[in-house]
Amino acid sequence: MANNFFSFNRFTMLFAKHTQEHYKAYLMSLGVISGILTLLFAFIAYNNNGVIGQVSQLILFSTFLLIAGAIFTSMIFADLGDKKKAIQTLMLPASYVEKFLVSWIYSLIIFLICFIGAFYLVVFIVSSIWGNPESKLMDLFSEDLKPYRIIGFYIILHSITLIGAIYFERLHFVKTGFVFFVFLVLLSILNQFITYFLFDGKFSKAVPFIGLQVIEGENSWPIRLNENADMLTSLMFFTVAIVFWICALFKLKEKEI
Amino acid sequence: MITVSNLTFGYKKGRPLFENLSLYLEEGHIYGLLGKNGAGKSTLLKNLAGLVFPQEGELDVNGHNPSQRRPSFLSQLFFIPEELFMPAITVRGYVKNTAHFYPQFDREQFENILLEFNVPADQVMSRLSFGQQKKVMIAFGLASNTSLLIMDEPTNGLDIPSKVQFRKIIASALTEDRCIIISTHQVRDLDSLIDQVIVLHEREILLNKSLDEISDKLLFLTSSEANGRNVVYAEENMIGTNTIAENLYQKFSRVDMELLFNAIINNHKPLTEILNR
Repeated sequence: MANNFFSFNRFTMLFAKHTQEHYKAYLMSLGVISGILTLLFAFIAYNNNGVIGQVSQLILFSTFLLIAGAIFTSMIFADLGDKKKAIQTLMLPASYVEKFLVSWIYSLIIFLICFIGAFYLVVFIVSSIWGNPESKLMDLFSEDLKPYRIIGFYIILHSITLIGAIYFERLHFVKTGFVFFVFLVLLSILNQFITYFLFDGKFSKAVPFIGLQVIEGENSWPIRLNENADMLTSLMFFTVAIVFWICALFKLKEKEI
Repeated sequence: MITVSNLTFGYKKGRPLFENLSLYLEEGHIYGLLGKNGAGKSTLLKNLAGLVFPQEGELDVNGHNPSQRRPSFLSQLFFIPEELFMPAITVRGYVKNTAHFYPQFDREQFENILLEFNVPADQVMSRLSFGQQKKVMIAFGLASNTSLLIMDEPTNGLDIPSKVQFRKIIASALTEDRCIIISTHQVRDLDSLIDQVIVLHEREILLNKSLDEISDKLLFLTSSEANGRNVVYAEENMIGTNTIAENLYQKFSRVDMELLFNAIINNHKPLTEILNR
């Protein structure tokens, strides 16, 4: 018990406590998501001779991963917004690093594993019922649709939602969402201004971090990031996620009731 | 054990709940923290527990700065807030997943206190009544055997027989290396339990004395017994008048805490002058 920063023994105890106190609610939530996905995939299969298309899978995968993940992450620190629960959480003899890590692992790693597992199981079961050989499971690492990018996007969203969950005491999800969209609007306006000056107003469809369309007379040319620059953007987003996680960690350390 | 030096704290800047508050508490005592509603009792306890951080001044609890909330500090402190949250697991399940965070936790002691309070250990905690939930947490806090036990209004929600049991159980749990702080605005609940009285009123600690010191220097009598001499405070009730007088001839009287509390918050100067002589 001497290490006040991180003790693996204490972390394991905390992880076990969290699991025992929350596993029923978590399993029920997973059951609800799986149920909704089953209904939607069954509907798609029914209308498509038992075939569940790759794009349909990608759309449902992205939508459910991002929405359910953001809600789950914003709820995981909800205890700190309720004074009664917060006192128990903060007074428990474990370090803030251990308390943060338990929530981080649950909302990122365990959530991703469970969601992806449940998603593929649902698609597999629904496809098997119809038994149409044309129906294939979506390849998570396919270079065609690049579904793995959604996981990258979830990592960014997780860091934003996590800091919002600790920062706001009530209505974490709504408030974080509001701040996030205000930021996106401001970023788009700023991007529009910068692009205007760079291209002398001869452009359209300027999307931050993605590209734009340059207009020359009657012609227009799309400008996109090349692979290296694309990598750099991903790296930048990942760095931002790490910074947000660290900020959330220190916010937890300084939390007052 | 606890040293508070020049503590200033308020939830809003410019509106302090305490100003330059200093306090020294030792192990081996049960302290009763008394104050009216809104006097800042809970906030002072939260400062001691590290749930809020001082604006100015310093706090030392067991050699730790509470605001750092280090595990070694937290494992020696059990805080029972006025309002409780109970997870949806059984009392036994809670002990199983939480007791090992407190190195001196005594399971047998916990079971015995629970038995004395008549609370079933196989019940789901969130389904217990508020009074039973309080009893579970009091039993857990006592069995954790932490050197500091803080209870904020622990008797709220307890029925009269349970308050008697509460006093008995707390008194039996005090050891020489343990400090227990109990806050309340229901002064009578702490009768024959505490041995030190702290009165918090209007941003200040007006009194921090042992009951022995108080009864050495003050006499708590009815008006007929006091006979008007050296009376510093008098209060009428249904059956007559109770008084506090200076104890000039080393007579013994039982400290009437409610009367003392009322006297202190009405006009503390004559009393504190006598007590500080």
